Amino acid sequence: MTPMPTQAGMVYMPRTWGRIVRGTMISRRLRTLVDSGAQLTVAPVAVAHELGLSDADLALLPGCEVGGIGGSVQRCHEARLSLHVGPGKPEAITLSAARVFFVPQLLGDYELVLGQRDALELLSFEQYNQPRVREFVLRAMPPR
Amino acid sequence: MSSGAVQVDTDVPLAADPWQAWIDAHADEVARYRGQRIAVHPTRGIVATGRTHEEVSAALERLGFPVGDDDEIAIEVVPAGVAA
Repeated sequence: MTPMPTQAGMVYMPRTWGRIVRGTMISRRLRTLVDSGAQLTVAPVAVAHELGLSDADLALLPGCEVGGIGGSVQRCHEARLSLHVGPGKPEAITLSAARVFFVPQLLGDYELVLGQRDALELLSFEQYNQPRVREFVLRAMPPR
Repeated sequence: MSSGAVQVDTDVPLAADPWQAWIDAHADEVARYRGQRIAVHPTRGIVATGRTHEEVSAALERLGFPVGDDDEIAIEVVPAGVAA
């Protein structure tokens, strides 16, 4: 858990690093929030561009509108890409063909938000946020 | 940290996370970049900054940090200030 200052004191957030993979192309290591309150896994379009997806490519993908990101409704495009979650290679969880929704701008203190669809549908997420134990655990779930 | 799990403990780090370790050890330096994105190298520290992901990424390319499997950079978003 990463400490974050707030007006109510220090709050600990489940933050990690994530990378998005498209074929042989891989994104930078992105500051990632595990957000059980988020409906979708979202990343900024700028990352899609780094992965070789042009605006024209994105326009061909399924689209939808999402709210609650930066306080406004944004058009997003849904891609199926692999996600590496965790700080380093040995520790990383890989989600294959995960649903990633690209939005024009991801406002807030993150470059990637792991939401319910479908990262958290593919993982178990446990969080402990008590003074002596502040940690979270993500585990890949075997298919049922 | 074991394979297939992500665990983070602020008191006793279970995971090898050199980027977070650098950020934690240099909080004052990181705080200078409130509201910006910083590119952190685990030993060299902040190597690029920018307001947007595009700015940081372009700076990294100019500086010779290509993206790839062996990329040693992590992009942190420094909060603009104390959250509500």
